[in-house]
Amino acid sequence: MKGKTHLYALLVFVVTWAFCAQWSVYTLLQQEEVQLFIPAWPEISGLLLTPGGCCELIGKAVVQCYSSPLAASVILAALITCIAYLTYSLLEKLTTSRIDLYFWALIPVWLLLKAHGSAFYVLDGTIGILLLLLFLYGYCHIATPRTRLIYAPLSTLTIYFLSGQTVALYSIILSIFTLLKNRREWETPLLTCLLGLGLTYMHIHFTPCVPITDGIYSQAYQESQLQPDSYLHFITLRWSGLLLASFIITYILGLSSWNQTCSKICLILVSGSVLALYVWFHLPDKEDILNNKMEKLSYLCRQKDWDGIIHEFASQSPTNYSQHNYLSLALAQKGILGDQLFKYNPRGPQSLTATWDRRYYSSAILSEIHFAIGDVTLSESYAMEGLTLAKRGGSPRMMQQLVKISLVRQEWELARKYLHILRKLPSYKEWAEKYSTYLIQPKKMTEDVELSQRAVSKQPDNLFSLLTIDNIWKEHFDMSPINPFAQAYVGCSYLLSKELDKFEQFLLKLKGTSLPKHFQEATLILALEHPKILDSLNLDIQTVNLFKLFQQDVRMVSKDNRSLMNLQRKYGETYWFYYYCKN
Amino acid sequence: MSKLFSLIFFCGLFFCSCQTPLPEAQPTKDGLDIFPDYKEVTIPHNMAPLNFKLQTSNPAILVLSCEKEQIRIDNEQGIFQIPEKKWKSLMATAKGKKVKAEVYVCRAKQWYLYPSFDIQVSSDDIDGYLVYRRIAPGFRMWNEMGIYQRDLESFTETTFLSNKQTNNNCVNCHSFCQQDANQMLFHQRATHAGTYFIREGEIEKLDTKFCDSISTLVYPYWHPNGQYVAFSTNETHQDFHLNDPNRIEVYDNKSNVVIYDIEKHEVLTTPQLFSNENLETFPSFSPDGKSLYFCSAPTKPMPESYRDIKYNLLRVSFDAKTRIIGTDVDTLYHAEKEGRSVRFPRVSPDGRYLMYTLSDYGNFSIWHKDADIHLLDLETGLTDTMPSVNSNDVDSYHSWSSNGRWFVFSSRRQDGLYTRPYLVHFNEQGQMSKPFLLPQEHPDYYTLSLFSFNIPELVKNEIEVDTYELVKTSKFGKPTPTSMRKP
Repeated sequence: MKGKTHLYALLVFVVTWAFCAQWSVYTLLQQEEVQLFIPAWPEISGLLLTPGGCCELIGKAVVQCYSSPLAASVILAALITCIAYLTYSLLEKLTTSRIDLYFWALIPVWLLLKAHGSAFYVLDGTIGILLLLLFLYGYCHIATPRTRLIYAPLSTLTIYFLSGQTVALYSIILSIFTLLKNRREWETPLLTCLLGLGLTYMHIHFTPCVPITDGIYSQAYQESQLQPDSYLHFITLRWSGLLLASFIITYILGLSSWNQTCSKICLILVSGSVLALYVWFHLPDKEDILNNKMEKLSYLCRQKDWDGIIHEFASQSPTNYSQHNYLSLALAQKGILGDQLFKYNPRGPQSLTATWDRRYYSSAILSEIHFAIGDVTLSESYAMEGLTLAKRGGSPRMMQQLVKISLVRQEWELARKYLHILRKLPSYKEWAEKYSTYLIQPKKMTEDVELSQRAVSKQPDNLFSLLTIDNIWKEHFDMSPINPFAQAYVGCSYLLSKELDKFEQFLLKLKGTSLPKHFQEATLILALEHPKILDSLNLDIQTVNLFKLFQQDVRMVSKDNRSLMNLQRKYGETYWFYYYCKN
Repeated sequence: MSKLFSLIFFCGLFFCSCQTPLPEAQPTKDGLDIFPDYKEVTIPHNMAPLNFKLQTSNPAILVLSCEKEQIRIDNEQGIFQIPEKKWKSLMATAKGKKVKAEVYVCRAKQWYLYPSFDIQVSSDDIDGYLVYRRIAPGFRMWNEMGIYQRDLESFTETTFLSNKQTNNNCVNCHSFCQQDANQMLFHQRATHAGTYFIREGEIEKLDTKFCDSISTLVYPYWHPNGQYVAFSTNETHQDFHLNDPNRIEVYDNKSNVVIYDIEKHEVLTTPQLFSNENLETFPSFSPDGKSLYFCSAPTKPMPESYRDIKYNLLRVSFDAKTRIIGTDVDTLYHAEKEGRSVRFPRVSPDGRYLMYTLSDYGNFSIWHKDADIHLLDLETGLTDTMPSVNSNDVDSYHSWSSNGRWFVFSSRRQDGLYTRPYLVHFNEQGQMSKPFLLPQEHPDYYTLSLFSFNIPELVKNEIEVDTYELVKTSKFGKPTPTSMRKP
């Protein structure tokens, strides 16, 4: 059986790794971004002295190693494999070794794997479960009841200090496990249950915590909470339920003998089917896939992999405003926003900057966009929201953004504070060292491509509610040298909102420059009413000819769907189609 | 084997008990850069150790001495964490005297002795606890926050209420009756919204929907007899500056002042406190309970006129027995004449001084870098601009200690964004010492913290409440109905 078990572990590792790599690796990578872990003694000691703090500490520390998609999926696969192995070992202790146990053991494991695809879950839960199983594994290897009677309460206390309220589940699981093994050994379960539940009761009453009982509420409730505690309880409770179910099923099946080949096969088929059905009903759904895509975009944006973002939409246009925002930013960074925006089926000005939805990811992308355009104030406000909304303690990525903003705003003390923190984070030390030099030599910022293009607005101050976004953006392309991002964003925002009167004014500032494709297309629409506009602008002859064709085709289009689709096939990537055919 | 252990033990004991003599150091006249800056400050004798660090990470020695009592701290990185027991003993000796602090710093294998500085240890007690809300200075949203109480004699901080326990809602505006932690109130917003009173451990949740014109009670101040609380009711909005160091603007479209009768569950007001023509806010009672101070500005179209809103400081009489609010309004600060805007009037416990925050306009001083604290002598009518206390950045919310010899205030002087609590000694002649930052166990605490300290309130005792019951009441408790007495 040992060889089979090794093979089982290897298979679990491979499947988990493949699953992570396919479905949840970017969610894992984002975990690092939305948790701030300062490896300094005051923080570490604070966590170690709090019941459950150890799991949080390990969880936060391990997440720091999520430096690449490969590292993240390998680490998680290793943890999940350990859990699967331990679960199987426990089941094996309840009955004789059988192949179906591999399947029963995987049911609770799948729940965990799926949980890691959720942005609401954090690694602490899995660490807590691993510790729980390790102590349980130790327990079931103790031969004498007397030693078990000593080990059980001691391990219960240890689990409480390491994992906090998970102790309630540990004590219940340990008790049921013991009773399933030997019903006459009731002292240990009773003592452990009393201790575990008592500790949990005291913990809930006397410490500022989210009670584990909150884990019984619906998934929607859990996802409405800002901090991960409640979601952790939600997963841990469900995992415990599944583990106990596996124990009980294994125990019941162990009451009969399964020596005949036929019955063995039947058992394997039944258990395999149950696992398959469970997995089938718990495969990542549309929302999970969408979240993973968003997190992938966020990751690529952080890596400044603009080609990667554009490539993501090579075969399918963005499906929501946030995806559009990432794509628009990538196109602008590549200098092709005005040439390619309408290739990707945009839907109004929100395709450039979506309405802030009070979530971390929306804050992060809006901060990036506004910083690229040069709206330092708006960028800071969204970065501050991101820092606040990050899951635990802050976000190193948002802090990096705030360093840049503080340097541009010449708020040296604030920049120094954030840099001081970032210098303490191993993965950010080098970055922080580089930016720290600007504190000593601010003039060096002129050599920094990113920072030198940003400046605090010189417009007279006003409140944002009294301004329009194009009012704010216009300033940036009036600056010398022209900020190309701002130019592209302002122009495209007029096009998307179909405000061609404003676009006409905007064109006056672009005289003598070569216009991007969509700007030329919009100019041709304008020229229908103001032909003189063409005198001062250089338009591509091919675009002019295509517009003539478009006008002919449009006249022939009846309002049926097929002709509209034909028109879309021919002109779907032009501004004309957007202007005339889309609401 | 046991002999070997004994030998190791005694050797260890010997090395621990011996301290190397102070190094031969070259005196230097350079200024010593330390954080927090505790040079030449006045502290209460019952304060936790003033742990601090050098701004440069060098091996250093700190020697604190007063008469025969001496503490020596050696540290490789210039971080001085003073043992609490030794500190207490030093404070006992130094009560009413000065502690001399000498710092030796080693740079490039050469020891330097910096000019020493003194710490004046006042024999005036400070209240035992400081209660504050800790929250990230987010612009629109909040996440983790809570109301915490810090034992000022040690570094122990306990959670009064964390929003973890209350579905991440907003907890705010904690207020105490005469610095007594047994009579307090606070609000919760978003989920489990309401005003919560805790008196002698009894918890009461209020239904504050009195009428259409009052949706929630906001800034509170207790009457000294504990029977009334004055509240403002504000319709508040937030906006952002395009190009201003102040970043955020918070303004009221509407605000009024009411007095809540705790026993009768009734709200009282008068046209002087409750009008559409003026924005009345920030009420506070005098320590004798006979006067009610508040701020008021003429209503203007908002947000267009946000820079023109300037609050006067006004006073009306109040009779606690008859519940009659006076009709004569005294103006203590005339905003139009003087050109600035007042908020947070707080009268000293002896009734002589009134401390308030002043800034160029508006009422949300925590986002106004020009906000400073001022002191009005109610006997002479003279105003002290408190130059030794104020900074170039935000100096705002202040609270007196019960004996009037200390006050705490919020300031963003450290980095311009994160609010920190500073303590100041206020002597019988009305003179103030240099402010000092609330000491923390690790001097790096504030540098690493991404939280602000809001509404620091000094209280005499620890808040004693069954938090579990409080959470239960907030989640499932029925609110007490309240009514409004028509003006």
